[in-house]
Amino acid sequence: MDKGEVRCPTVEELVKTRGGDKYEEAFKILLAVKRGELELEAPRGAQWFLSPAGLWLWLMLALTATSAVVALTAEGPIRYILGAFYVLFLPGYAVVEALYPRGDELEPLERLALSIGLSLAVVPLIGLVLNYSPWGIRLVPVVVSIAAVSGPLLVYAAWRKAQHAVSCK
Amino acid sequence: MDILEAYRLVVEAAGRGVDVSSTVPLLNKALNATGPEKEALLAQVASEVAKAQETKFWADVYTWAAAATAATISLLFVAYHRKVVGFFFLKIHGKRRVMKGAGRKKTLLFDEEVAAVVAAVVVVAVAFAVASQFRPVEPFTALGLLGPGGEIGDYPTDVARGSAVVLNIYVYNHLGHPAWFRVVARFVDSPNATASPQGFYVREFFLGHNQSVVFPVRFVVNSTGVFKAELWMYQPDGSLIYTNRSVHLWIKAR
Repeated sequence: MDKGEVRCPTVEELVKTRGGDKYEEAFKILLAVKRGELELEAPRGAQWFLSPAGLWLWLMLALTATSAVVALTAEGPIRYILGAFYVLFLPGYAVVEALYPRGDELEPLERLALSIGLSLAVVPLIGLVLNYSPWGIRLVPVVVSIAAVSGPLLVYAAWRKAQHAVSCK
Repeated sequence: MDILEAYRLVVEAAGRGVDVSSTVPLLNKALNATGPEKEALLAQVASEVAKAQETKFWADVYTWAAAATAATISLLFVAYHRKVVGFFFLKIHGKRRVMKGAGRKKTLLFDEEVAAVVAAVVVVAVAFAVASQFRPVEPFTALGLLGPGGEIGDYPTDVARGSAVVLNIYVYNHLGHPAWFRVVARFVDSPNATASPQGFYVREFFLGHNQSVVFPVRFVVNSTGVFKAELWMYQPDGSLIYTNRSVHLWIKAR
């Protein structure tokens, strides 16, 4: 942002300042945020969960629940796609997000690779525990266990993200 | 309509990709029924096949419509994704304040390298999915011999003369269509005895694709010999053929 502009404008104000197509400009601002050139303010603590910044958590929990329900009830390609996401990506992603909540500690590709790699490490451990449980390694216990591991990890990751939220000084 | 006609109708419909699994219980009932009850059951089979054909037609229409819709939405998204994503970003995050960032990437979805990896995975997955769609069903049948408890093991190989023995037979159909099977059990001198459609135990039944059945065979052992079970199958033209599937058990009578 140039000198003379409002120090911390809202996204809407910034879009208006730039002129042009507002949705195109909003997309450019989003890309700048993703590249780390800009940062969005977010409330700290419990308020973070109900703010737009906390949308990440609710989307991830919704995706987890949808994948679990689809794995248990549906058939066909959607089950393969969400099933692969649920087993091969989600548990590791939840661990990575809990360990590195700020978002800029790892390169995006490192985050993806670690998510897949850690999923491949976490899921067999869940299987090992289930093997010695009364429920055994069956569809319902596996689906429930992965949700029981990923869900709390995502909430913990969100809580840590809330601790790292930044505000305009 | 006789049972053979109904069987032919079901096999032909299955060959066209129609899900005829609902006709299998009706065919099995018809096999053991007589007179008007049998007629009614066979008419119901024909009606079920017609209904399943209609269901398949609408399922195909739905699938193609869904695929066309998905393709259209994908193309529109590719063309207008910047405006669509910008619209939602503005609606959700429009009131948030913006400040200067640290300059390090904070994304997973908006990174070119990640997109390249995801694209590679998608291409491989689509190639596998398309290849598996065109792979025909490998047709085979399976016959198994299970012990008295319905599991592998505890076979009665050494029994008192005149005592009753129970063995269980397992049959599996992976022919891609329902099949009319005949299981024949015989007591023979050698496992290499010539196959025969007659025996001390004969059971006929229909089995849908990817279905299996386990049933007990009870008999009395009077002499040492071989218990042999063979799997026969009716072709849609009415001929009875041997599937080359047999199982046997040496039983010693004391």
